[in-house]
Amino acid sequence: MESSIRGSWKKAFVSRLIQGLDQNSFQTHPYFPDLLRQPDLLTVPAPGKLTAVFAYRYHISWHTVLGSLEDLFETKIHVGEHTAVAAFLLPQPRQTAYEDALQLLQNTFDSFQTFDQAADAPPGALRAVVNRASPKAVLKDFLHYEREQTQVSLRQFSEMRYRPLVEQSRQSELPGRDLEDYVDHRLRALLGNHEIVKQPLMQNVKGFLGELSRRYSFEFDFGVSGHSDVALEVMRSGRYGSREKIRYLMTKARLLRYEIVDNRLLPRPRAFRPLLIVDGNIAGPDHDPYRYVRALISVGWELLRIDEMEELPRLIRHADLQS
Amino acid sequence: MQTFKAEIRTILFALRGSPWAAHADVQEVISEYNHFENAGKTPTPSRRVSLQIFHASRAIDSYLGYLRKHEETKHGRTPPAYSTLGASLRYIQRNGIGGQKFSQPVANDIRTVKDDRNTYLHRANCFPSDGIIKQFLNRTIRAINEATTFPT
Repeated sequence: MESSIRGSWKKAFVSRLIQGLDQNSFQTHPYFPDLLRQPDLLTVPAPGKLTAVFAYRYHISWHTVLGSLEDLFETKIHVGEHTAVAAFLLPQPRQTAYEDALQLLQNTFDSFQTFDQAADAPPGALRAVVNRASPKAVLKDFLHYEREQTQVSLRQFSEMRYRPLVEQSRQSELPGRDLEDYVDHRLRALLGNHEIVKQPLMQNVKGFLGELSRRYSFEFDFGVSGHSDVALEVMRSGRYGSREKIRYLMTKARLLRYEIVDNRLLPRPRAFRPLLIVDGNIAGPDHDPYRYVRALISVGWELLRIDEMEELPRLIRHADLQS
Repeated sequence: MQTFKAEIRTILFALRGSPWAAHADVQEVISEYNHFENAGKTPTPSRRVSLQIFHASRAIDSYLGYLRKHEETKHGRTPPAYSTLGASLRYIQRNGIGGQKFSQPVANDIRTVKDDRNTYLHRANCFPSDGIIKQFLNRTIRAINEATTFPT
């Protein structure tokens, strides 16, 4: 999770980045309706050249790093591929582990820098970043496919279908461990003759995109034997605090839509179908309650409330028909 | 009182930083959003929201109209002198701009913008609340963001 005391450090850090720069050359607190996390700065050094800057301070883990990667993907998809996306990270505490996670950020963001503390950033550092940052080619194919697949996935979105998921009065009912046991029990009852697999691993393309030396897999809560293209995740969620988890889930689904063939990224011939079982609600902000639902559907998640799990056999059969 | 400064400044930065920024007609759209930003200083609420709807509508009308004009010219066709928001949207969804179209939710957003605009511009003594303007702006930002990703 990003540090909850971000207000004070971020203000100081951003002030340092823009120190001495013309007030009209940047915007702090921009607002793009479709981004789950807003950039901290926008700047247009010359017409047609847009740079978005994200400042992070967190404990490095795959969850936090993939959340940042989602910010990069969303900015490129929703603001435009022409946008250079820069990131600054202040790891808390300074960690030497997770070198491959840092390398992933280094190799995908158009500019990436780490500082031990905010005061280490040179005053007016934004200028140097903007001069250096230009869109990298490494994500070109991936973003092209993502844009296409997002359009296809969003055809399934309907406010009527997902209305109960954004009802703020719908609270999660089961604590984490009980929830997992309950879903396990229901899955076995509903899918009967299929074997339920716990914590299955699904190979993703993180290593390829980040030019890392090894290949990686994502773990899901449940899988169904004989249906390698279906995996289930269970989520407790309320009105607040779900955004970080959703950012991670977004990247998780995106990175599973592809495979590597002859060192090239290609969409999987059999579409991967991640299913998210939600206990509670995933309402977005009041002026856009469907924001999180729309986002998750856009990357391929099928959303199911915990009280409609009887739909699962039909959805899994549907996955078979689709592939 | 909401001035929607962050939303408008974001649209301005997104337009200035897009590959379309060099086009003269898009510069006019940028100027229109500057007028919108200034409208936020109007103290009388009914006048302020009327101006905001007026400028935001003209900006999105002109931008989509320009995209259509640019595409038709590129293919050697003579574009119409004026294209309404609905007509521009239909053209874009049918023919694409540089091969790209609006996603379904954004196309729906633009239809809603058109309907809202018609309600508030044509019905006497009818003014939107700040919440409605915020939704109106959210929809136009989504549309403009997606349109700036179209290849020039």
